[in-house]
Amino acid sequence: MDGTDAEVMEASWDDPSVFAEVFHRYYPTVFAYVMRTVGHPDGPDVAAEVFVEAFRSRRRYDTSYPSARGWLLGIAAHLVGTHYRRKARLRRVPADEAMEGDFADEVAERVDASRSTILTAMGRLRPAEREILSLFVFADLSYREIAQALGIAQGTVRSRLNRARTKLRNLTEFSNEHREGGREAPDA
Amino acid sequence: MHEDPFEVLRRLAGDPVPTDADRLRALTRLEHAIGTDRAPVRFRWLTPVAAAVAVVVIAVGVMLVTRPTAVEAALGEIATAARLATPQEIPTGSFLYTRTEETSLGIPEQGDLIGIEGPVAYLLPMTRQEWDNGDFQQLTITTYAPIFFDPAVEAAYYAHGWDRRDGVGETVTRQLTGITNDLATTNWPTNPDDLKEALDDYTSQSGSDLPLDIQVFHLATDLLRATNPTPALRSALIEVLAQLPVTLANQTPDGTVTLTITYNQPPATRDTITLDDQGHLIAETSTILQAADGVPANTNTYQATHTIPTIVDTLDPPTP
Repeated sequence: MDGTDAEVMEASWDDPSVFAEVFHRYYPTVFAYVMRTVGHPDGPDVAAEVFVEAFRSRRRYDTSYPSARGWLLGIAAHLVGTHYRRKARLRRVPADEAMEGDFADEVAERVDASRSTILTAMGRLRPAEREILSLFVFADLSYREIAQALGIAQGTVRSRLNRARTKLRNLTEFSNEHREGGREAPDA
Repeated sequence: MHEDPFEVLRRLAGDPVPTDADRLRALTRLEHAIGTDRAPVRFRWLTPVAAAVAVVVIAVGVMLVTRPTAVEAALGEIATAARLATPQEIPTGSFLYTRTEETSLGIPEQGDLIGIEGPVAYLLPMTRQEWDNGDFQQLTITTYAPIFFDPAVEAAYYAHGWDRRDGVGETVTRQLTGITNDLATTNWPTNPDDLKEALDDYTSQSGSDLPLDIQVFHLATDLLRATNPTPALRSALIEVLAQLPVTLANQTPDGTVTLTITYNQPPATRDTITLDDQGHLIAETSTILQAADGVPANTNTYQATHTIPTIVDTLDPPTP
């Protein structure tokens, strides 16, 4: 059907089959975001779950927002967080370490050391910072869209992103200095 | 590392594209969900026999579902809805209004009611209305006639003027400023695992003999009731509740969920809380399962219903 996402969403309240239109419009966007954060092998499952969860929650969609993109990515961010917490519980390790390990594993074979450093550093961010950062970097959402997706103020989005950027910089610089120091130690 | 870390991340992330198989699997799952969606209109066409069969099938299904899965699924939906809710900010000059109808147990100290031997206890119903804007709070409390378990206690209660002491039949309004609510001013984490850790830390300093999970359940309930949490914190609180040994007692089609948790106070006690589909605490009870201190078994020693907090512009009770 044609029309804005809000109109499609509203139509799906009475005719659930209409919701498939939302899937066709946004599956590639949601898939790309989830794969960037979760990767293989779980990413496709999480991406599929986003639409099931969105379908179940469709009556709560605020139709004053014509585009459902931010709303869907907010659900995706939440499910990504749940995914990591579940994995952490299964492995009996903190969620942060689970994410750090996954990121490191995921990239180990395709990036050089300096690049894996930054992904490992991302795993060390606070979950709330990481959630906002991933929506900003991996989903290209604006501050306003992130605020809508997560139900927080735009100012909070801005400050958490700034903090995440600074932390990433500090963590990666520390890591590089540490590595360089380690190489120099035997000669000292 | 001199590049902007965000740019490095963007470049590393690449541009994942779903395969046809990924898309088909995802669409199949969604179509299954659409096909099994509750459709109230269609139920009108079900014959009574078919409806009875459906009830049996659902009942068997519920029995087969393990408790953690049912609780996690129910609370997961609520946590998502809570997180996506619009933040409620109180404009200058406005107040957050809540109304609570509650009944709680009164147990006077031994000897307070002269002539009564053994334990004395009664339930005291009241309506509590609260206007709050952070710096200022107005409380209006109306107290109703108590409910007694023993006629002798009732007679002694009125004979000793305890009704005046409890303010029975009175409505009292108090205005308070400079209130500091420790729970509301604490900067609680909004990640569920971090929040659980913070709640564990907080309760471990309470000195209570109750198991930690029970204390965390009570603290999470207090936070939902007393602090009007942000969407992110409310969502995290719901997720923490899902990690506790709670049982799903009821779930209605509108998404309202009732949870129970049982513990030995002593006596053995069962608490329930009811959350609406957005994670607001709308009802709670505490029930003793064994007779104690003059209170019969299975008495609700605390029972409350709460309205969902609303923004109002005056200190008058809103029209129902």
